[in-house]
Amino acid sequence: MMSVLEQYSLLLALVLGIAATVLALYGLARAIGPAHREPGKDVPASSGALSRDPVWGRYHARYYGYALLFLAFDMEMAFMYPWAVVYREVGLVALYDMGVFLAILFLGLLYGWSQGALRRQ
Amino acid sequence: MISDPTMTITGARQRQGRFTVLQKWVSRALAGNLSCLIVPGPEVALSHGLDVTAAGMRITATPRDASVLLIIGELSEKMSEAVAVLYAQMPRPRAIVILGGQPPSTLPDADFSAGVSQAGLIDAVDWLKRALAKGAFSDSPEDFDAAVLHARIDYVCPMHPEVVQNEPGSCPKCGMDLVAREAGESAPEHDHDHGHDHCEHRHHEHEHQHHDHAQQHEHHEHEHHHGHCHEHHDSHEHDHEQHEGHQHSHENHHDHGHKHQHDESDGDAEEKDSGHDHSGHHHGGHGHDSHEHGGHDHVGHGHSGHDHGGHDHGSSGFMSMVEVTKDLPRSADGLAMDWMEVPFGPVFPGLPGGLKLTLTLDGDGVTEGQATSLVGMINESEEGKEIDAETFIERLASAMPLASVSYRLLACLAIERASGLENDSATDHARDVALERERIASHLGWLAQLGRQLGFAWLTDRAATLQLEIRRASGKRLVELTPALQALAARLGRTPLLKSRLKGIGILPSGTAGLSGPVARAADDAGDAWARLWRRLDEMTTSLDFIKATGEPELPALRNIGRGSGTGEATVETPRGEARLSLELEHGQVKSYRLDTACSHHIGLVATLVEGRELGDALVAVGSLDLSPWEVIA
Repeated sequence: MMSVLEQYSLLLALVLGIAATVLALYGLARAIGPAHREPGKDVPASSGALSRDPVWGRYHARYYGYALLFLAFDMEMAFMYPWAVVYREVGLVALYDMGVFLAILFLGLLYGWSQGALRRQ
Repeated sequence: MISDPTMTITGARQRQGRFTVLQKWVSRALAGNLSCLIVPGPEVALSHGLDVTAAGMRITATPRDASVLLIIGELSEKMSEAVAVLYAQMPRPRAIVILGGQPPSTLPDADFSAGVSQAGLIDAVDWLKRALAKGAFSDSPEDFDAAVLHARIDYVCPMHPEVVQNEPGSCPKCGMDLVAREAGESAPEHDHDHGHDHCEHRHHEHEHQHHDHAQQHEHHEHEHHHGHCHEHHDSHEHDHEQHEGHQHSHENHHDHGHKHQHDESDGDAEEKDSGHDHSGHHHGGHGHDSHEHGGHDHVGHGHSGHDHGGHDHGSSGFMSMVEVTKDLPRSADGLAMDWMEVPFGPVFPGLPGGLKLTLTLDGDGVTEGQATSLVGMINESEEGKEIDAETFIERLASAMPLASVSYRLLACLAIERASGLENDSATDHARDVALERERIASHLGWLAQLGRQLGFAWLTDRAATLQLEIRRASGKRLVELTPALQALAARLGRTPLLKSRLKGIGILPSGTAGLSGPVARAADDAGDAWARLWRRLDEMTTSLDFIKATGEPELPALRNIGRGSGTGEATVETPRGEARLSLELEHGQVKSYRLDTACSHHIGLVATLVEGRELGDALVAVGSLDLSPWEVIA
């Protein structure tokens, strides 16, 4: 086990290392030669046309249905960590409990499926 | 051929002082790893028999990764603009190589130019390696600029799309303010920011100091903007007296909408009050404290262009999404979303170069789309201009780089028929073999393109290698290559996910008007992209069988027609469908001609194929048509 001070010195070394890498990249770019500022170079382009359209738009995320389902089921995973900690103590009952919990969740998924939640909008 | 004896490339990178060791090292590394962007596209290189990889360059799909711009053949004007954008996006050092064409007017002179041949390409790579090692850095690199790189602002009337002016002003038809729009954009509804710019722009022009207070009083700000636009546009008088007068006599001025606005934007805090007044009376209320002034700034111009003008300062808060999409058309599910008009092409890696697919995207779904060709041939000869028969054949063949043999044959046949020549069966057979050989090569080119589009690098490699070999192969060699073609088809059948990617995509039922070639024949099966793939593979086998049974290919060359006259018509089943040419011959000169091709009809089907599809499916559907933009007759 490292002492707290040692751990902090490691963190400091990491930070310094990252800073040094970034500075080295800048130094290298400078040594290779200055960048040439030209029109059209720093504008995004798509397929042979500059794209100056406003970027602040309301994008239709058609996968939001799945995204919400995923989030819901992903959050349930959080309950499994404390369950795993006490699993040995509680024994087989814990397995049944979790089985019931997951079965309910699974029913929810089946219901969502039947309602077309997994179909593309 | 070598333009500069001192070996400096036009797109060199800036260097200060001497050539350092590091720069020397970087130059050598670059010279040893040439990456090239091909314009119009890799499929054109392949159909010309150019093997870029074998010549020692890596093919890239994006200008950001390219150090060499390889231009093949002459470019149309619109393609030249696209090329200028590509070149501007390439990081320095960068070089231009042109094979078989003149440098486009938008670009600096080519670093190396040669004819369209593998030898020329190899020379170019040799030269580039030496030039990049020595001249990648320069004390005074040339600047690059082109008109297309600068945004040009047009002013359009929101109600009359035909009114487009270079300067701000009012619409000659309805007197409304013109809205600023970047040239080339379409509907003003889509560009919510530009209306805003426009207002701001005038703001500065007339040196008013409203901006600060506008930001502080967010609530009023929205219509103040509009006020400014109107004011500067219609009247430059800011008479405080008159203004006060209005304040005290609203009852008499119910019909004044516009005039009030002109006055209200005059300068200071007091003027802000007047804004309240006017709005108040517009809404029927009369108090100074009335804040319902949303309505009056829309008098006479309640259009989205203006509404969006103030969107990011609206009452719903900074950058409000509700404001952004307030008046936009709704998606199919009723949500108000931004629709984006996105160009795919003319140099999109997933589609043939020169084809421009413009899609209106609602998220990742395509609301509408259309395809146009930027390199298509123009029908009808120039009036009264006669072309020599040989020249005509050459011109037609070089105008169709993806199927030059077919069109050479078509032109020969039409001219020979016009001059009254009898068919000669030996020649016909040899020509047909050449046509079938080109069909195999063309379908392989399409497979390579499919590989590029779907990301099957092995497919692109194998199909391209076979295409290069088959392009000019003898009958005997073609027979030898049969197993390789069968192996390719077998592997396509085994490729995981390919079937699920293509099945049911881009369905064209057999009754669809204007179908021709493999697309029409696949319509008799399922009519989807998967059926088209297998139809083309089948055709390759059929063509091989025909070649085996018939003999050696011979490139079509015009037989002696003397100075014959007459009219002739010929039809050739090109790899993409039926092409028909009718022409009028006078003393061995082509007087007028009329060409009809399959792609001219197929390109019109794109709109129905992409509508309502996912973006990926739409692109696959368009790709499966095997459109050659060159064969689209304008």
